Amino acid sequence: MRAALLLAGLLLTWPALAQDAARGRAIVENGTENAAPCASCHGMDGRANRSEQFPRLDGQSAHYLLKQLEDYASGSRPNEVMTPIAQGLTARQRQDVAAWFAAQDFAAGPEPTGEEARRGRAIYELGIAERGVQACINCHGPGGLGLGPLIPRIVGQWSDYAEAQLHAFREGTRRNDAGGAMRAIAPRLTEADVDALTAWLERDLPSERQHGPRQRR
Amino acid sequence: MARTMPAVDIVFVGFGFTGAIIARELKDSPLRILGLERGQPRDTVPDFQGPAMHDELAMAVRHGLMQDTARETVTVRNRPDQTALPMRQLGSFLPGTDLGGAGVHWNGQTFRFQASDFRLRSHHEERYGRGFVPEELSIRDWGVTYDELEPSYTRFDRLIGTCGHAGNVRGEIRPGGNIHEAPRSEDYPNPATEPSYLGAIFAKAAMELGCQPFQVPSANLTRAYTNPEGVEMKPCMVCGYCERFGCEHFAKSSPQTTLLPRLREQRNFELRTGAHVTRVDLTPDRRRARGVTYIDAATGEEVTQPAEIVVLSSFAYNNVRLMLLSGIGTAYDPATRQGNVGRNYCYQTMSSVTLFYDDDVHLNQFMGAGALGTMVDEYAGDNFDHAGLDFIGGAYIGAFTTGARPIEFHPVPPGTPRWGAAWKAATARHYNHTGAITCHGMSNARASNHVDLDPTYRDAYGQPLARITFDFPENDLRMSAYVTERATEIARRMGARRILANPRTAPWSVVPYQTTHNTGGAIMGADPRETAVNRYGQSWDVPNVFVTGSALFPQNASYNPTGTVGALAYWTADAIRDRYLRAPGAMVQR
Repeated sequence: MRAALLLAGLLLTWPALAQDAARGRAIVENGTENAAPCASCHGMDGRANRSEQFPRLDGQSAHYLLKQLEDYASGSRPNEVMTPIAQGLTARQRQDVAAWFAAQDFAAGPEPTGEEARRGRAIYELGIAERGVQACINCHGPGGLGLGPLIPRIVGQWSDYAEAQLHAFREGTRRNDAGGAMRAIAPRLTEADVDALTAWLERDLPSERQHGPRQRR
Repeated sequence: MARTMPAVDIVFVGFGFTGAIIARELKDSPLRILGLERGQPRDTVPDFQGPAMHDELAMAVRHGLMQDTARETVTVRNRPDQTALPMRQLGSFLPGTDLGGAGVHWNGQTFRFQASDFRLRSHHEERYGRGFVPEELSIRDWGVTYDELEPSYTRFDRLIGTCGHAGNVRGEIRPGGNIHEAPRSEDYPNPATEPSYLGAIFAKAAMELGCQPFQVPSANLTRAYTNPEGVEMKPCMVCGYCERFGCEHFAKSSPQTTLLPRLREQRNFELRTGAHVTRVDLTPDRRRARGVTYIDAATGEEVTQPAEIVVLSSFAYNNVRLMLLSGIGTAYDPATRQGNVGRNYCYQTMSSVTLFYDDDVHLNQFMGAGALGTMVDEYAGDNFDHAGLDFIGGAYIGAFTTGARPIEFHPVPPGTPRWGAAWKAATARHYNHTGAITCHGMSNARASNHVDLDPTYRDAYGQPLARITFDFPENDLRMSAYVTERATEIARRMGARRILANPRTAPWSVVPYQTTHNTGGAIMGADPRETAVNRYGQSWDVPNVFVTGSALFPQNASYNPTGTVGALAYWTADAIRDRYLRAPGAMVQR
């Protein structure tokens, strides 16, 4: 009961986001004594790079981003790159960084077409009833835009990163999903399902809007 | 001319939780089982999917999953000397329709009744003396005890994966759960929900007043769970769309998420939807049912369905209506107090306290679930000493966070203009800063409250509507006033800027929604003159007719009824399978 009060209190006291974002900008750009600059992998605008397995963070829910940083720091989402970085930031700095990326404009390219994309969209919107896979849309919302504060937007996410997360949920190496929802779903997806889904969700940006130099996989 | 279908051994009229439970319990029997459902078939995929299921206007405001009052409704009045009028829009209660019935749109609050609830009259006479129960109340014992039902409660909890923290396991009291509860034979199958912020504030205040708060037992699942039928459910995402909605997440227990996947594979089971049963066909001496007659919704044809056993498993008062339309038993007359069908119609005595907070207290109740609540049981049933009080019964007091959906949730303090800029400003100001405490009160029977057939109004098929005559007994109003006071004491400690008590007042009105806990009319008990069915749910008058659901309750307890409805279905299933089939006929002699 006390833990719940504390958690609820945390959600209640999100201070002015604009001030946080301004402080976050400095950390993203320059890092701190204990943490590398976020921009070196995720870009200043959070759009990262399609080819590198780094996630896009632009315009993501601030609460979701903060929870991931907290989970990296506490070890409940262990990651050899992110855990030391998150631990190197203070609670205040984690909040500021989350606010910065949440404040970035999100942009997405057009919806992919073709047979595989249709399959991906069908999984997203209808699930796979015969294997007990819920439709993604039920939690992640119409068009994959997410359902704040804690369910992330997944449309536009780079497919390499998305695929790696589904694998991590399937193998149980990522365990910070609420109620184990993703750990229950991911093992029911075949590799072909994962490919179709993540390819449909990825929305290729025009090259000038990408953070890094465009690289073909 | 009516078409006649091949005979079956057992037919269910209405296919929700109770029909599905009994049909599944007969899986290894040689019986040919037929479920008749007058509504449409439906399943999680595709019928309950997002984002369409979150259409609050269609589902909550326009009652998308509820019975269509243009085809059939009930007429209502407060007293027998009034003329009843049809309820043309659903309000006070929301009966479900289509496959799965109200088991689809319920909230998932899953309780057991207290041991004393099943012996309500005897318990009070033993504890307080013979004259204590107010004269106006026609409360009774159920004819079945908590101890007898306990294994059935446990089976229902396992079936639906109830999430909670047990406060009494075989007499061992466990802090953190409901310590006032009758003993459970085992803990809940799944862990309790986490309190919402409102629930946490409530718990702190209640503890300061010496109460023992706990999380409401929930059928919105806290983790993935495979039930004993081998059907897997998923964890709740706390999306806030339970009551009045179907669950897209496979996370709220319903016939669809617990039983129907297995029933579809069951070789001796057939389901027919779009089959509107108009009567149970009896032999001329009215001692035996030959089957049922239904209208095939697809063709409009009348169909005769012979059956050896008929189970009335539709919504509470619809079972009563079908008995009266078919001539099963004798219609109750409140003037003479004779007749065994239609008696003891009861409801629920709801009241609340609203808490208006300062705008720096963000309750975020849009993150909710139907059974996400924190409650105390100190003032429920006979958990507190009534000596010196002028009523029996009580209510549980709880703080629920069920979703705060945008169209219907717009609390504003009294005195706010009803429209215009000031209303809009107040709505924006109070939306995320207003909570409520609910008092979920017992409903006691009295002689004038009953169900019969309306003499004037008829449904789309030309059959008389059920007529509900109901008002709150004086006893229940006194109880509600007392418990609402206790809830107000808790509210005063919850740090709100302003609190507003909303005690229950008479007369009962059909307009504001209160709860869909309609009970009684086909009550169970030991006396064939004053109860419709025996302790197994078997009709005294027509022994091959069984009744399920809350119609069986002689009066309604302080808790949500579904747990007891589920337990009684297992109880009746055991009786049919293990006793009736071996020796068909009355299981209790008149």
